[in-house]
Amino acid sequence: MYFKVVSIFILGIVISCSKSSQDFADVGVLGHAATGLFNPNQLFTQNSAEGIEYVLSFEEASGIEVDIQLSKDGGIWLFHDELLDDRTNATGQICEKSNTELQAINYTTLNKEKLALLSAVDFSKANGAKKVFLDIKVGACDFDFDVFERIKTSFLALEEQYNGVIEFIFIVNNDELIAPFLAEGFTIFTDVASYQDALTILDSYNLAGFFIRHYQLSVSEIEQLKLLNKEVILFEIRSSLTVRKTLKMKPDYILVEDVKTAIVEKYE
Amino acid sequence: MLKIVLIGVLFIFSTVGRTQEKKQETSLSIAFQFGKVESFPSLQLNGKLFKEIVYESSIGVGVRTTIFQGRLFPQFSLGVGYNVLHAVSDKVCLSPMISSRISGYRLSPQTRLSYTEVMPGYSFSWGTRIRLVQSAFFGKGWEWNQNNELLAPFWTFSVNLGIGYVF
Repeated sequence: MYFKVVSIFILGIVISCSKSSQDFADVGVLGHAATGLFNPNQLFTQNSAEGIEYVLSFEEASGIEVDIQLSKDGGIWLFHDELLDDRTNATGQICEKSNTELQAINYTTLNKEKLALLSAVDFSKANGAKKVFLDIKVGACDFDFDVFERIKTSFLALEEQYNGVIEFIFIVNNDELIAPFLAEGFTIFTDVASYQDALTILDSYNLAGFFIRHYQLSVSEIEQLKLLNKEVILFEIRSSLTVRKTLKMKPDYILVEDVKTAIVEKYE
Repeated sequence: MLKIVLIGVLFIFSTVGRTQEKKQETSLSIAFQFGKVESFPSLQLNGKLFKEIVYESSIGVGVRTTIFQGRLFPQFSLGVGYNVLHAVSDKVCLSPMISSRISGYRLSPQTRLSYTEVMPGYSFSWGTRIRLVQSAFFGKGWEWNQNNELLAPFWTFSVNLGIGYVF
């Protein structure tokens, strides 16, 4: 009886472990909000300093995407949601609070990670050269400073500090910000919902590439955008099955919820 | 890796062999462990070490990594506790328990990840011949990345539910 159960158990493992291998060396793996917005197995929460340093410590990860928001006094904070209510021990918006107030806030996770300033992340812990995509989220506040100038100043400081190791790239989805960023020669990506949207935006702006949901683009459309010298980053990739499917589509990067699951698939 | 699995299986069999002489003290269960790192279907052995000191050991594999991704992710666990209901009934066992588990898998050709978790919690079992086993733990875990030699500490938990046969 025991032998039968154990034999079936081991046989199941052996069968499931035998798979053919493919080459996905050209497809980079990026962590969505570093450790994933929808990842119950993450060791550290999304957009936290701990999570960012953890994901960048993997040699196999190409980089991360993180969300940045401005505080009332111009600090650049890492946070995804519009409101602090659901994920932290505070309420309201980042843009309504001062840096001092934000420093006291932590996530309501097991690790209780502190809300982090972008400048507080130690990017020198990265294992090799990485890309860090900064998704600019401007809250519904009126600032008494120039948002672009504030972000630019912080960006230049980071670029100088981590020159040659980390490449910081902006994701801009705000029309008012795209023009000044491009005018200053920054590399800009944006989110689109279709291949046609991407072509329409390219009529107005010379963007470096696009973030698009994996089901909104075909393999041939990815190839077309690559021919235009634009990078394609597919997102909304949660399961190992979707990771496998999107690797086969050969985009430049896949933005995944679980970096470790994606690495296993990439190097199967 | 197969060696480790076989050693684990032999350990379970040898323990069954030793305890079979005693009456209704050991159960072999098929259990499902829902945990922080992964979820593990497992073979679980519950029994008595001596007097009211009980143990819970299991061998399992990570569902996502092993079954859906084809990368072997074994886990071994061992917990020791004290049956606080020993005077009440033979059918039921409730034990505050300290459990430790080790697991690991090959992330890529150059990286191997190992996990060590130590968690206090409880183990509950009920039944005479067919036994329901349930346990829950919360504690500390460490992920060791052998490529960059980094140790990442994290809070962890495990909730286990299984059904087994008493020998």
